Amino acid sequence: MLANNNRKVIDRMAAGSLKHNRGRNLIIFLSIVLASFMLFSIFTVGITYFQMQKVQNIRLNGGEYDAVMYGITPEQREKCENDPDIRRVGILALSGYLEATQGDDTVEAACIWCDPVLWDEMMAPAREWVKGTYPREENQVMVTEEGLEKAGLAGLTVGDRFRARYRDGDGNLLDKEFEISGIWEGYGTKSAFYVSETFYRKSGCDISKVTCGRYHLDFDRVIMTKGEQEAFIESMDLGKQQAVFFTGDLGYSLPIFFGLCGLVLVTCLCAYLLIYNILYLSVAGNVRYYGLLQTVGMTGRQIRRLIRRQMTILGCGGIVCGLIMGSLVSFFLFPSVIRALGIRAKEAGEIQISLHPMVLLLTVALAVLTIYLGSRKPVKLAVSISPLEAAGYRPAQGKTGGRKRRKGGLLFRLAWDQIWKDKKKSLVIMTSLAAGLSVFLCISTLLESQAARTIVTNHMNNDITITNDSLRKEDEEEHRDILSASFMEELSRLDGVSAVYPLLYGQITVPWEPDFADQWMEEFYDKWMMIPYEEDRSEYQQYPENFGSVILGISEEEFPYLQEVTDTTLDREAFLSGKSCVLYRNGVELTMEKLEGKQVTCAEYGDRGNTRTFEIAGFTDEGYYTGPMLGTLPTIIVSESVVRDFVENPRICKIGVRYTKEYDENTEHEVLALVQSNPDGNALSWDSKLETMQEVKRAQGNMREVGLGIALILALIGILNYINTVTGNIQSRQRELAILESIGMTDRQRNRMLVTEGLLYAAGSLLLTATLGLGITYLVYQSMNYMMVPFSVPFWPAAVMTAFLILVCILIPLAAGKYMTGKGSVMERVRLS
Amino acid sequence: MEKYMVRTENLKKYYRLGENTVRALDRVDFDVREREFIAVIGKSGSGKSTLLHLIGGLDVPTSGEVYVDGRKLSDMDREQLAIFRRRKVGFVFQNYNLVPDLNVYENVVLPIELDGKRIDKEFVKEILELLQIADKTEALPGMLSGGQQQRVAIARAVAAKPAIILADEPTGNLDTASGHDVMGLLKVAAKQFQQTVILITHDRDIAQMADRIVHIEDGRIVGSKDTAPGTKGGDSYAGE
Repeated sequence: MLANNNRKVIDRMAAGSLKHNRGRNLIIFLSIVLASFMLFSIFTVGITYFQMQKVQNIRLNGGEYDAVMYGITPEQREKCENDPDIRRVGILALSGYLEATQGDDTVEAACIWCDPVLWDEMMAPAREWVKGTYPREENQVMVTEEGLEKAGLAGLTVGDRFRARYRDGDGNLLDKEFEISGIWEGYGTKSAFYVSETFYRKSGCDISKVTCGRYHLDFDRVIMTKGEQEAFIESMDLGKQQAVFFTGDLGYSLPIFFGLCGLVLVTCLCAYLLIYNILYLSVAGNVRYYGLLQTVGMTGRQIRRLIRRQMTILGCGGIVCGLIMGSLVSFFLFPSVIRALGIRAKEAGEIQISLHPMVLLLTVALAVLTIYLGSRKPVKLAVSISPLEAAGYRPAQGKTGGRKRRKGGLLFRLAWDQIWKDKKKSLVIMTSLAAGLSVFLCISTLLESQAARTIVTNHMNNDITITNDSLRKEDEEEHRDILSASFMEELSRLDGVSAVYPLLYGQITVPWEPDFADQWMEEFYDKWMMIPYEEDRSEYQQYPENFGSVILGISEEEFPYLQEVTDTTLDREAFLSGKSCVLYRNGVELTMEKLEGKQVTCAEYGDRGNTRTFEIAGFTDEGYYTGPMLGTLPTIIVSESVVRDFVENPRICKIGVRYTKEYDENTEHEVLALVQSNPDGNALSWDSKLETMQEVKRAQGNMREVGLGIALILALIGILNYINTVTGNIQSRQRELAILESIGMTDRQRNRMLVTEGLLYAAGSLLLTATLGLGITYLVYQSMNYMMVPFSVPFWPAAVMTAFLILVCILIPLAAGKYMTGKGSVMERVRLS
Repeated sequence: MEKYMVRTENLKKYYRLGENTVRALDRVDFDVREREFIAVIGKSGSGKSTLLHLIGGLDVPTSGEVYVDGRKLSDMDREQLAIFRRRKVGFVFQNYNLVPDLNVYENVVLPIELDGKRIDKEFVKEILELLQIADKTEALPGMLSGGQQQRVAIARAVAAKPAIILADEPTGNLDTASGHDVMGLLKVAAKQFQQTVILITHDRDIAQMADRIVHIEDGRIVGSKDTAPGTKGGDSYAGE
């Protein structure tokens, strides 16, 4: 067959058609602009969201690293440095503890040395500002204002000097004059005093020991599976005391990645449905035009080319405009919104919205793909139209065959029929709506879990725990009974305080015996000590006083909480009467299976004759149940009355305070005022739930607002899609509705029918959201839930979303119906369509 | 005094078409008596369909009045007009205009259901038998022939017991035999159920089946002629 060069004609016709069908083409063009814009914005904004989450993790971890290794041997160090997967390694060395300063003699602050990689590179993103420089001389320190305040040195600044007593790695208590070389602010260990390398070298500490060295590893990869992590740990050939901990960022990166993929998939589905719907309705609505072209002799191939040509012109223009719009919004509007929300730039990790070439490519690829897929079926439809149809012949529409008459109200039946008439279209409408809603549900659930992270759970849900630090002093003369009965009473009398739980403490020792004490020490030395137990065993057997420990007494009211954090079921009576006790595990690898029926005997410190024997009823890992000192021997927890009966001069070491209203700032203020007004107030320290919550909240920045913005954009896509499809659907049924009107259907009846349809769509979408959407949300949530926050769908966002959806499903059909009746008389509408 | 089922007074319907004004109907005064069967004939674009639509309340006149069964249509709002249509008027269109998703029975009883009335099943059965579609009640319009679809449309028009049936070229899409068949059935049904019929056609043979033929041209009635001897006639028929 001879080649027929008719391209020019087709191209001219395509251009002409674009010009003459401005209204129709404008809708397609706008839909492509909208979809490209949405895709581009979602990707850019999504990336920003995950960047912000990264910033949050940097803030929570105090630096940008993926894992921390406790203790590091030269071999391991060499291995890590030569590992191509590891980008950089930073060293932290605990080089001693500050115990007293000129302003506070009960300080507890670590002296930490960070190597330049850790301080200048890894920790830099978590710092907000720095004054001065990192210490170079042995007597120089770097601190935060908060650290200074806690150490009783408030008001000092760079260049100032202070005296302090600190304990070095060999256990020596030394006195030194320090100079503040720098002050910083940000996130991380803020109470620590950062020291120079010289200080560390002279401290007697050694980074190969777990008590000193912390090796910070930054991997050169985004994803690391659990298996890969385990393989890495395996390759490190760790000693028994050593451990490697992965941070949330990389440790859970694979599930996060999958979660992200899920979100992108749903987002793309939304955009695809939008383009598909508009194009399909637009081309399907112009069936007669294409039929007419066939009447005048255009072949199917030529029609295909004609439509594709038009789509190419519209697609190119639409995508370019969408990208420009997306760029404007992403790079100008969005940052200004973020700034308005109070997220600081150039600090704490810096949020920068950058143009990723991948985002650009992905947007274009997806838009082109959706235009192609969206126009494939309409093209087929246009080609299959017979010239007769174009000439005005109306084929019998709808299904052929028979159907039994169904029961139910007429209007409901008509609406129901409409849903089932074109199942695919109905499914598309419901899916698009459900996809938008599911993304909204998913993000709002994730955001709620982020909020849950700010809910700090302290032991017993205490709002504040006050500790008597004077009891930490080695010299017993310096111990003061600050948390006295009168102090407790004053506390209880405060308006917002609902309960006060004292933790009584006495010094004890546990004499050697082969059954339990020996076994405990063996395990303890294995886990925590640098020297083998054998070296100390005989000393322990002869002088158990050299191995001190504590006995803690809890009130009867506290028993249920102790039970909650103990791994076995306790016999209340036996515990309260002093027959049994609970031990603080302290990381020792002992379980109750090994100790079934065993007893622990202890003696009052300094009075070997005064002993008590308790049956071991269980272990607890709750850090609250530690006394002023954590010795090598077990900490024994019994009831308060037992301690009073056993120890001559017991003291309250901690008080747990609960407020009537959780996180009540006023009560907190009053409690702290009471603490500070105490003459020995500077020997008291506290751990406040409110303060922790505020800190975490600060670290989270404005992630909630940004996340909510994204959720709303995605929900809007779903709704836009629905609006577009429903109005198009009603438009295409113009004739049918006009026929119904001609035989006597009133406006009210038509509205009721359309609203019923809308409600059926809403019900379908909600059903899809509640099943499939919720399922996906659950999977995404669990894959991202490394904080182990229990899954719960936030009630209010879900309720508002449902109400809004129902409202849209009612109002849009009504508006479309009203718009339609304004387009002429009944007969005009019958004829027009 | 003789009772008129339909009366129009100085009825006008003008359309604007670009710069020009098209006079679809121009000063039409037209009466139809109760139970009368009238055929309106005229060329394409003469205004016969417009007249039918104005009588049925499907369109609004530019000026003038339409009275149906003594009621003035211009006094009714959209809601009242819709109710008027389903109670007083039965339409038969050239394109049948059946609802494609409803079966024959559902299409026939649709106006009754829209009116919220109880369906007189015996009456509907009688109509379906008369129109010879009683065995098709469960069929969807898509599987019926043109003639059968038009019979369903007639059944729908008659079923609500309206006072008047307006038929707009009901045989336009049918072959001659089916056309005559449908016309015969329409006439029988109207007579049996005592309804007034206004039929639009351009087929003179079909028009001859009516009691009176009204000729319309360029939006004006140019003649009226009784066809059956003994019926009360109007003006002389000037269309021939």
